[in-house]
Amino acid sequence: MYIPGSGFFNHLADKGLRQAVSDKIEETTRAVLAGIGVKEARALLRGDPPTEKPNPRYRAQVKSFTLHLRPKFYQEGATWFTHTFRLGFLSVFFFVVETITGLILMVYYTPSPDVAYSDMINILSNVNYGKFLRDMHRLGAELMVIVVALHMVRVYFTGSYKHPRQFTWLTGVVLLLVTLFLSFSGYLLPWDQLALWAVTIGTSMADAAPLVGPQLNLILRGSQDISAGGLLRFYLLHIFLLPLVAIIFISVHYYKVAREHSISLPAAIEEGEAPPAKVAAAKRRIDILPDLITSEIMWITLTLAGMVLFMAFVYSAALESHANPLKTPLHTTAPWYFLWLQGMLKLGDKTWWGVIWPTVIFLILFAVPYIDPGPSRLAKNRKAGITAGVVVAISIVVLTFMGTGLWGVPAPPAEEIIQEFIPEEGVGLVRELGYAGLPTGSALPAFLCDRTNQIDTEIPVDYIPGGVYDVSDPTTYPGGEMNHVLAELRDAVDRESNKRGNNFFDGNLQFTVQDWQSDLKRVSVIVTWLEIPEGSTDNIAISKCFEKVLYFQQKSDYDLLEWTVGR
Amino acid sequence: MIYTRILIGLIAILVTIATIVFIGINEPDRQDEFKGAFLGRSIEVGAGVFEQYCSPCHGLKGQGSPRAPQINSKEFFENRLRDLGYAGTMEAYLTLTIRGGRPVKSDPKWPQNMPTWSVDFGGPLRNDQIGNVVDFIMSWEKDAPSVGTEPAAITAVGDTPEERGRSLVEVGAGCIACHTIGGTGGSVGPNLTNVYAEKGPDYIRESILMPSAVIAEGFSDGIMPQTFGQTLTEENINDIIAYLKSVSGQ
Repeated sequence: MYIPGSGFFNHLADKGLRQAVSDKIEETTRAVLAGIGVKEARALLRGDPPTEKPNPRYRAQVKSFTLHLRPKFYQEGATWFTHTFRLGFLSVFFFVVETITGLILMVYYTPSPDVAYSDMINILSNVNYGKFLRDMHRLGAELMVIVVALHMVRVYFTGSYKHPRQFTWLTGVVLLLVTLFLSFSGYLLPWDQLALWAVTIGTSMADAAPLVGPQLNLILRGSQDISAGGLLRFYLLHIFLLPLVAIIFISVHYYKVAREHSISLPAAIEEGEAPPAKVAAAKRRIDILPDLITSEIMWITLTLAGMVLFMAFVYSAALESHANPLKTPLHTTAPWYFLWLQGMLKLGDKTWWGVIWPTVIFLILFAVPYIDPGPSRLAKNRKAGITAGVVVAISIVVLTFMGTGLWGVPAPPAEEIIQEFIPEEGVGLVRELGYAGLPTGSALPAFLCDRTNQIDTEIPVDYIPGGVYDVSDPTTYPGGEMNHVLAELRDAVDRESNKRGNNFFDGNLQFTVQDWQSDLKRVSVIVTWLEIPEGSTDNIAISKCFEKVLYFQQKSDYDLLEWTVGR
Repeated sequence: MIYTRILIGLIAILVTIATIVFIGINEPDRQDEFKGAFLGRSIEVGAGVFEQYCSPCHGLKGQGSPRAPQINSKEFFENRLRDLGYAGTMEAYLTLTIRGGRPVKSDPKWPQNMPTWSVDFGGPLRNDQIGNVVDFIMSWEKDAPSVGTEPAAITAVGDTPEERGRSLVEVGAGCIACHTIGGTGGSVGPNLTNVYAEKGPDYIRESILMPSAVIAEGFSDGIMPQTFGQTLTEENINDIIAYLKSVSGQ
């Protein structure tokens, strides 16, 4: 009768305990490591030469599914850090990080405007490691965009897109687009103001496309504005369609590298410009087992440790207030990697600059290897190509700067001053003072600003029981950190008053703090100024005001989701 | 070379694990801090929404007015649910009432029913904003004053009829809770900015005293309180007309 597992005991009787156990370990090791035995595994980790013939390390690549995806070796020159900077490898690494953290986050997330934001709050305040996972996912996404873009820049400047790698380049451009849209589609999911308005701006570009624009916009958003339908669509793009496309194209891209043409050697090596000894060294084989594998594991662990440390002590993914379709925040911008596009939009016509030009740019990008068929990859033989690359890179940087709120249509001066100190979202100097840093003082004369932006003169002078601070009068300053903020406010008001052409004269600012109830203070900031009414012929200035009211609760620490550098 | 890589990798893994453990140890404190902060921010937002939408009737601090009861009171937080025989929590009761309004008045002395505020029921507020308001109202519970729920009398402030009228429209009678006048106000009733120029003083007087006499197109009968005839004096009504005259045609 055969008893399962009895083989080992039979061997025990034949060979003795020691031999039977070591044979079993050897057998198991070979089964798990695709034919590599204990002795060979030790040799691998020590960097010793193979212990058996034929080389069991190559055999492993035939037997193991994971290893068969990899090339058997690279040439040493292709692995020089300064040649590749490991950027392609890191792109895949971040894709894996995003997949794992994304899958876990999906457990706690529902793509519906009713609950998406409260799910975010739940992830941040009730889920163990919830903030860690979200930060990791967000940071990984930002780094992935950077790394993929740099990978393309590297391939361009080393001329690695040339024959025989033209098609690999083409799939790479697809992957760049997929990465951008993966990140962009994820932007909407937290359903905060940042999400809603960044994506509104992004999709409004689709609207400008000739002929199909409005339809395309409708397909993306699901309705005229982004709402439940749009959120679900972006969610499905983010978790299903785009990752699927990414996996397919990563596979094609890597298959080309692994099986067809490998990673390019530095041009000087390939074209024999370097000294022969260096060329010989660069062409030495570096086997995947053990050299590449250990190197890759080292890079994975190092990047992971760097990310985790950065998150633990520095990084926090922002979460703004709940999405409000009725209120566009001042100076809304697209995600940073689309700022160049927003910058282009400021140059003129929406269809021309927002749709046609970007399409042409990406078409040219796709076609780079076919436009530039010159065989030499050396920089000295590609002067036009390198110059074009540098010009494009500088243009992108300039356009990105133009896309930020710094270069744009300014709001009225009073609103700009308020936005500078009490931004709609984020912290700003006033919120930084916090509940405790806002002294309420005693009842003082104050004025109110009414609904038509006129100063209300009918209010009794002791109307406001609280601290009333006039920035132009330092004797009203309460002391402490608040003095510093009030002085900065005064400088900002003076700056706007002295500026020409903004119809803002003789500005002043009244800052009022009231104890509203226990643990809650009410702050009213009123900017007053003189302006000449539109269409006025006699140039007589009238008095205007603008008020911003905000409440401060004792525990609402706005710094929690800010980067803590320099805190 | 391989040794160095394995050593660096091991150190990196140990650093990663140590950091993750460190984060894990701090998780309970971090979660508490975040809960407090998010509740605090919710109260801040809720206070702003309350000031804009709720205070015209319930008072800036929930002290009540001739139009709606005091909700910032010990009695409200302690007895309200029992009086109603409501089995849910206070938060649930508040959420329900704000979202869906009240189909019947709890006391006939109030001039109007609580309107529906949630977008789900045709109101102006998103449900997350109502959640913020509930958080704000719940923050009153621990220091709620122990006073009755008698409405304060309607008062007019100001030296000229226009000023007194304005104070009545904005605060005393609270017309702007439902009507837009001069750019701001509610949309429950018709925009009254130009009502003086278009319809004249008698129409205004009639509409205040007998709201059902003429119903503006697109609005339904029975929403405007019928009680202003009792709560407003003749002088009050003249002041309101004076104010509406002053904003009309602007």
